Amino acid sequence: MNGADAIVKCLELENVEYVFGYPGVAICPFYNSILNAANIKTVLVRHEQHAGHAASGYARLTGKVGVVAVTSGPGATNVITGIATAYADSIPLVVITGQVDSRLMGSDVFQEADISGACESFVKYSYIVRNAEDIPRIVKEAFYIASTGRKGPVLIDFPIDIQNQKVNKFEYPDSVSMPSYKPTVKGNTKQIDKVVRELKKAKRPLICTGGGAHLSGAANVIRAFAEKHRIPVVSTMMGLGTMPTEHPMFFGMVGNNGQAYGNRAMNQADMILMAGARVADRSIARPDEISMNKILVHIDVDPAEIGKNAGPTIPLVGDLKNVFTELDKEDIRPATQEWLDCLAGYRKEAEEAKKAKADLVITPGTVDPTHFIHALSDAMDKNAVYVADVGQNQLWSCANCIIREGRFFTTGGMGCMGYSVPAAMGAKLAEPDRQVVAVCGDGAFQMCMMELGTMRQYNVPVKIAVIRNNVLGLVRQYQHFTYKDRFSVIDLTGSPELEAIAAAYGMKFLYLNDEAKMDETIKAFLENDESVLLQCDVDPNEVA
Amino acid sequence: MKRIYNVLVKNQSGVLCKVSGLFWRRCFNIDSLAVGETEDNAISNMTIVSTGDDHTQEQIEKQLNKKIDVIKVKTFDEKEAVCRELMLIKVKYTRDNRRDIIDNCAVISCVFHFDQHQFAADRFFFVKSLDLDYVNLFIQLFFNLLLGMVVPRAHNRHIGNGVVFRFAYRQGINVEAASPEQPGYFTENTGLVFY
Repeated sequence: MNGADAIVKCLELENVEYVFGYPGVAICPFYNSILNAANIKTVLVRHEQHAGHAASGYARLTGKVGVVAVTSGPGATNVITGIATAYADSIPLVVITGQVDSRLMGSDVFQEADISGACESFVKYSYIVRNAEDIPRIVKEAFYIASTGRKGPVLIDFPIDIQNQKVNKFEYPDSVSMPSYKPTVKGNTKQIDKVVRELKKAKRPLICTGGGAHLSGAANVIRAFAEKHRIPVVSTMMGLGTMPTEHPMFFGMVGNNGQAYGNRAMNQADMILMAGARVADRSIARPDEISMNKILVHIDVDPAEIGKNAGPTIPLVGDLKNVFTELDKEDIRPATQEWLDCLAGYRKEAEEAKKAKADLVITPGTVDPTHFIHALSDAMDKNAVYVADVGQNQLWSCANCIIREGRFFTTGGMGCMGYSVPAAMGAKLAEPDRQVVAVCGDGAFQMCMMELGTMRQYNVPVKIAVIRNNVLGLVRQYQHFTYKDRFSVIDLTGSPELEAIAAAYGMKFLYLNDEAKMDETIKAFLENDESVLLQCDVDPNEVA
Repeated sequence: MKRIYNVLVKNQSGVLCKVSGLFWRRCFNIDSLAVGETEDNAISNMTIVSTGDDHTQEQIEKQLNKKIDVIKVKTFDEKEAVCRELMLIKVKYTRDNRRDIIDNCAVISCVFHFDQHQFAADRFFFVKSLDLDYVNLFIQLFFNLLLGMVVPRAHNRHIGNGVVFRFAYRQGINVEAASPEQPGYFTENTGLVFY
């Protein structure tokens, strides 16, 4: 057994199902050994960045750790964006990078990059394997670190000579002993009691869920808690899906791209339970002012997040699932009927305003993107996975996508264009029986369209809707408002014919530019479990 | 507001980079940093002095605790710590100004009880571990005596609580003579002298 065999054996013992990656000489011993692993499937992506995104999609749907393996130098540097995206969104990944011979490290040889140094800001932890005997411990720790506490990517840099080094004794540890890493999972009882006391007194309590709700597997617990204790819920972009969109106690997404009624709920609440959310700038415009007229309870597994952007009245460090299970044991039930009625009134107002907009004239030859996303998500399977990219499509998706029992993925933390197609691919590989739809703009699609080859090669039938306006819509929108229509470098003229792209990859192609044909096109888009590319033309003047 | 962070970390390569990178990335300032092995050679001790408001100080502590290579973080107010600065001063002279320089330095050496070392014919060294207030006083005096300019500073602290940590400490002040009329001046950080 050599080092590469050992690491593959470790991956088998961690029940790794897929390794997303791109080989090169420095990782060849690993890819040689992986041929012997009967239960691990490899996926050759067309760009290393997408290996990170695909593993992210896989990890988000399964709750398991996504695994990536790429070569040294450019392979490793290409994967940085994937790692950084996973870090910003707290997605558990283990990224294995090949490295040049350890005796040559630091001498700038061919395809050498100091990847652990380069990734320092984007990883939860990184290892450089110096001795093959350490591999079992390192891999065990890497999976443990990635998947516990606040989840995130862990990098293992693996020099080629160590991959080839003989391993005399392979013993995979049962547990991890890391005195310096002990995440707090259980909420402090005194703090929980304080929250309960305040909740009982609250007249206008509100739960605001973030991505942590999904990461800790607490969505169902929070939903049940909100229903039982009659506390309304709003979400940040990453928290969407904690409550079904049509749930009477859900009041939309908050933030500068959220629903007005969600933000009104935040402003008027007298107590907010911020659950697994960072209180970041896009969700809360003035984080420092949020607790001025209310009791702010910040619940997060990462102590450093509490108080970083907003000083909470009651800080509560712990895993959301654990904390809400504890809270649920108490008989809280504040009198919230009046508050719920008030919020329902706000929502009704907003829906009526939206209906009024629906009657506006739509530019001929285009469709209204909000209508399209609403209709598309309405027609999707109940448990479908909707992956939104970044840009106007993301904002339209957040505001109009109907989530029932399915999931909504987007990169709310890093905002990395080109995320949707590879992430959808990872999700579809994780659960082949589930409907997976990626929605992206024509800018983002061109950042990841090479992955259509991967989808075809591994028969991953993802449905891709490209909202096309031939411009970088969100930048154009920003320049429209901020620079008074002084548009700069947003024109996507020269983009390929999507029909030809679909044909080149053997995909079914659909075209939608007429609202009257929306329902039938969406039906055709979703009807079979096959890869489909749908082009949906929208007016470039549309704002999100 | 200054705060002292006494950080126990795993003694392995890359840890200093990880800790200092954290300060850089999150725009925290490092006033001074000293690192050395503890009596347990698997553990190193870092003493970091940083300036910032309460929020920054809290974040520094939390972010340090978040680092997996960080074993323990203790923080101190300046008043709670024993602070010493080791000064190492290199004084250069020529045949023409030798007398003036030596006379001036002898006064300083006498007042401050410096150790004086001469390793070369055209320069000698002062070495002294001083309380910070004395360092400030010394610099004031030196300014007057030697028409000093800018003094590079770095502080080093020994933290109490019954545990003595060893430090590797590097600091120097370079003093060069200009002319017999202007016997010497501090050059602006012209090359640190390593102790």
